[in-house]
Amino acid sequence: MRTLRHGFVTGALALATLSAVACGADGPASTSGPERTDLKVGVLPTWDAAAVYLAVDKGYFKAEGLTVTPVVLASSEEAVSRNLSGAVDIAHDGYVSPIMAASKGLPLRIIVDSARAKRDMYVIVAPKTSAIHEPEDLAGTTIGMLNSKGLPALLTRAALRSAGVDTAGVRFVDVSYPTMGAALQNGSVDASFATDPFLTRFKQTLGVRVVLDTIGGPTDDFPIGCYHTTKRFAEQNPRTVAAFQRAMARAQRLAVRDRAEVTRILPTYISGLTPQTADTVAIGDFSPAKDKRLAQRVADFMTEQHVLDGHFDVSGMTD
Amino acid sequence: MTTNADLEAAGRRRVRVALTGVALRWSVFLAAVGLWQLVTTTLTPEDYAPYFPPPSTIARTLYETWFSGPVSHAFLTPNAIDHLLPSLGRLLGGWALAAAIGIPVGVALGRSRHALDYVQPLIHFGRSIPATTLIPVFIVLFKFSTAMRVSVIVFGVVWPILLNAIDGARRVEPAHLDIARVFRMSRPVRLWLIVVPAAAPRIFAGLRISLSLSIILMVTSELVGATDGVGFFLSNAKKGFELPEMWSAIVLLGIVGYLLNTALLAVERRVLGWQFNAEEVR
Repeated sequence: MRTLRHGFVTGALALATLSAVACGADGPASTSGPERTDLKVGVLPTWDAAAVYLAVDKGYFKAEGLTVTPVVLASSEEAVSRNLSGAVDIAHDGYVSPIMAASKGLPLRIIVDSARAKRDMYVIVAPKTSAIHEPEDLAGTTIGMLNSKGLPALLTRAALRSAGVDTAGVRFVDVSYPTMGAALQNGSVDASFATDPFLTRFKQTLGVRVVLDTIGGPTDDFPIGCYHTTKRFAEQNPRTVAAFQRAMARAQRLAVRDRAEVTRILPTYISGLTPQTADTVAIGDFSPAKDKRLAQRVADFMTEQHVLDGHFDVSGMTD
Repeated sequence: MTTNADLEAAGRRRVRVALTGVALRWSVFLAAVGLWQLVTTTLTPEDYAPYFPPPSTIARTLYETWFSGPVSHAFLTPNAIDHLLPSLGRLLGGWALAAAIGIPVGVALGRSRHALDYVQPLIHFGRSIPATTLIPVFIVLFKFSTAMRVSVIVFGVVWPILLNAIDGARRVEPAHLDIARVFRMSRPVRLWLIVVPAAAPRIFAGLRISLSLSIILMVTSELVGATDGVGFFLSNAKKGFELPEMWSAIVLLGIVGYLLNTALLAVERRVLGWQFNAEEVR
C-alpha cells in the first residue's frame, strides 16, 4: 500500500512538472501575474480543507501572487450558492452538490481535486445499549445524517447494499451533529452516520460503537472533496485559476508527505477540535493531481443510485 | 315604485364599487407578478438565473408538483398528499391546540387582576423564547414525532393568543358588568354574554397573528429528522438544486397562508358581524 501510494505521488509529481513546463512554454500570457490577486475561498470545515490553510500558512499562495482569505461555510448548498453569487470566488465542497447543481444548469467548474476517502473515516455508529451489532441489523432502521440527500446517504446506501441489507426499509433523516447525540440517546434515530471530529466525540461521550464502514468495496477511495468556481470566473481569470491550482498542488503534496503539518493546522479551522485529538482524526488521501475521472466516478455513482436522471457527462465541468 | 328603482340602483352601485375594489386590489398583485417576471427574465445574471426562475415557470411547477392530480383526489398529486396534508394537519392541529389553551387561560387571567400580576413575568419570559431554540428539548421529549412538531408550533403561537385574550378580557365596559349584576346574571352567563363578546375582537386578532406564525414554525419544525411535510420537501428541493420545485413550495406556503387568513376573516366577520356594523354606524 505504502509503495503503491509512493508510486502514485512520484508519478503525479512527474506529471505536475511536465504540465508546469508545458504551461511555461505557453507564451507571455502565462508569465504575467494573475488577473485577480485577492481571493475569497469558501471552505467546509473538514480535514481535506487543511490544504488551503497550509497553502496560506506556508506562503504558497503568496509565491503565486495570490492573497487568499478562507471563509468557513456551513453546508454544500451554501458552497454552491455563495460561489455562484460571487460571495466566494472559489469554494471547497464535496462532489455531489456541484455535480447535482451542474446537472440542473448551474455553471460550475471543478478546478482542483481535493481528496479521497479512506476506511474508518465515514462510519455508521449505534449506541452501546442498542441491539444493532452487525450491518444486517440496520435493516428497517432510521439512520440520522447531516444530509440525507448528499454523500452520506449515497455512501451508506451503497455500503448497506454490498453488505446484503435491503435498503428499501432503511430511513435516512436529516439531523445536525449538535442534535445527533440526543437523537441517538432517546432512540429518535437507531444509528448515525459519523465522521471526525464528531465520531471521536460520540465515542467518548456516548460510548457508541461502529457497526458499518461505508468506505470499502464499491466505495473504496471514493472522491469526497474538490474546489469549484464559476464558469464565468474560470473564463475571465485563467491565470488566477492556474496560480491557485499550482499553490494547492504544492500544499496537497506537503499534506501527503507530512501528516504532522496536517495535524498542526486542523485545530486552527475546525471548531471544537483540540490539538490533542487532531492527531487521531481519521484523514483520507489528498489527491496529488487533477483527475477528471474522479468527478465522473461520483456522477456515475449518483446515476446508479437514481440521484441523477440518467448518465451525466462531467466534462463540461472539468475541462 | 321609485323607492324600489332607487334601491336597485343603489344595489348595482354597491356591486360595482365592490367589483372595482376587487379589481384594484388584484391589479396591484398582478403588476407585482408582472414586474417579477420581467426582472427574472431580463435582469438576473446568467450565473445564478436558475435560482430565480420566472413566475411563469414557478406557476407551471406549482401546478405539476402539487395540483395536477385526479379529480377523485381533489386534484392533489401524490406529492401533495404526502407532504401538504401532513403539514396542514400539524399546522391546524397546533394552532387549534394553542387556541384551546390560550383563549380560556387568557380570558380567565384577564378577569383576575391578582392572578395576572403573579403570572405576568412568567408570560413575558415565555413569549420571549424563540420556539425554534427549544426544538432540541422537544426532540428529547417526543423524539421525531408529530407531537414534537406540534409542540413547537403550540409553544410558539400560544403567546399572542394568550396576550390578546388577556387584553380583550380586560376591556369589558364596567357599565356592562354593572348592568349584568343588576339583572343578577350568574357567572357563566355573564362570561358568555358580556366578557367573551367584549374580548372577541382581540381574541381574533391574536388568532390571526398566530396563524401566520404557525406556518413559519411548521416549516422550521419539519427541517429536523423529518420524512414528510412541506418544510421537508422544501429543504430536499434546495439540496437537490431543484429550484423551480423549491419556489413552488415557497409560493404554496404563501397561498396556504392567504387562504387560511381569508377563511379566518370570513369566520370573524360572521361571528363579529354586530361589531362591524356598530363600527360603521359610529
